[in-house]
Amino acid sequence: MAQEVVTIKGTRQGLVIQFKGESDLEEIKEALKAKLEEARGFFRGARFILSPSRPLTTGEASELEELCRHYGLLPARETATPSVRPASKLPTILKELTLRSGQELTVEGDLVLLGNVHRGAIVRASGSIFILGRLKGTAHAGYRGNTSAIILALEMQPSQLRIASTVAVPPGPEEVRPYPEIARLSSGRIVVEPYRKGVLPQNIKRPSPVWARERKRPYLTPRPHPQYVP
Amino acid sequence: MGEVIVITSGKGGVGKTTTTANLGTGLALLGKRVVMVDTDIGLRNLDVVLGLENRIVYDLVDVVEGRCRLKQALIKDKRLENLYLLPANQTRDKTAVTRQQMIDLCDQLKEDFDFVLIDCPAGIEMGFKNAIAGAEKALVVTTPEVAAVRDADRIIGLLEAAEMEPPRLIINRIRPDMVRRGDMMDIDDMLEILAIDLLGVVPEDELIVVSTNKGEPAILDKRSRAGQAYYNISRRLLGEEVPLLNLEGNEGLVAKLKKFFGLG
Repeated sequence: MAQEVVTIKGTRQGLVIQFKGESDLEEIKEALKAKLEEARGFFRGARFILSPSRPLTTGEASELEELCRHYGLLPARETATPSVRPASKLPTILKELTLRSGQELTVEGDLVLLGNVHRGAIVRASGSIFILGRLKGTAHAGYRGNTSAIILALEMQPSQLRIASTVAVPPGPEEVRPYPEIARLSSGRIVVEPYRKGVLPQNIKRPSPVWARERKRPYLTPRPHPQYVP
Repeated sequence: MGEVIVITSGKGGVGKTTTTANLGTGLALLGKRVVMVDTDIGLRNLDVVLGLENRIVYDLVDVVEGRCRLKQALIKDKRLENLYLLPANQTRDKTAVTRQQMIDLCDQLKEDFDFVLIDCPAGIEMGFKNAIAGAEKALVVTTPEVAAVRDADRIIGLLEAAEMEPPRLIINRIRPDMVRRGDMMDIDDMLEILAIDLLGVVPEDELIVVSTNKGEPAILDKRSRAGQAYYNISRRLLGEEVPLLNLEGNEGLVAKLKKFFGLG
């Protein structure tokens, strides 16, 4: 059976009205109306908050609020309900692809990307971004304003990092650091550090990745490239 | 039924037209029936590179607009029996043909030929979209420059979006001496960035300029190393396994001695 579009839950802070899936406004309104109709004034006077699964525009939100008010519900202060955190409602989206120059990927939620982000490509998420590959393009985490979003990449060589409304450009020349790094906001600035400090002790020489070793080998003898397909 | 292969790059001046002319000639030398289509309407060059400029009567636009039959517009090569050119129009622009017209044209051409090579214009606009419309396979040409590689990456993305077969890469104008000094990106760097299969590497060669000006593809010149590379690529297109050219031998002792004795 299909998931219900609207569910109403009672909590100590009041009613939490949740909207499931990617339904459009009309559908939500219809379902909400039916629910409230069914309750026959049971909810009258109760405090409520809206908990959408996708971000609502202010117009949409006020329309839904208006509808609830019509049935005698009273809007609650959102701050009064710490148990409902919109960030935790974000889905995790898994994508397996290579983003090439000029390509964009935008997701609502946390993104796990299996692939590389090339120079000139942009990846955006309203939550955090986890790139299981190389980041050479631009990544924008928390692009709807979530300042606690982070960006993780197995190889971090971005042209630009953005978290919420903060932008950072990597300092100095491009260098390959063959370990995962994590970027986050710290007192208004984006800081990048190795993922989990202490995983690679400083006194141990870091192994260079295979491809970095390969490129140092001079081209003295001709050899068919392994990727060559006849 | 032949294959339709588009030769594209995104950036201009990296050698799409030279590559088309040489691969067309190479495949014809190997006994295939080949037609090259110049889709760079308004800026045609392929006819010049092949030395066929003065034989043009009808062109691509005349064909799609029905002013002539396809056979009338095809120009037979001076040197090779089974090589033909369908030239571009020089007075119109890219909007003169549509994607559907290109698809129909390619379908018609592949009935008659083993290979239809399409020389794509630079850019990603209508000319590019028309050029790839009727093609099944694509070859992406790049030079070892950051800008060219970046554009190639963009083009590969667009080709993937158009649901073509994964394109193959031709690296043009590489200079082994500069690569050795670390002043130029090497093959691995480019494959690393672009993540597609390599079809061939063409070294920088002065003879290309000479041959282009003379209207004779370099592949016909036995001394040209670029010509040799193009010949190898043609053979790879036919499914042969040919190792990459020994780029280091370019200015080796033997070559220098030969030159000294006037044999090179």
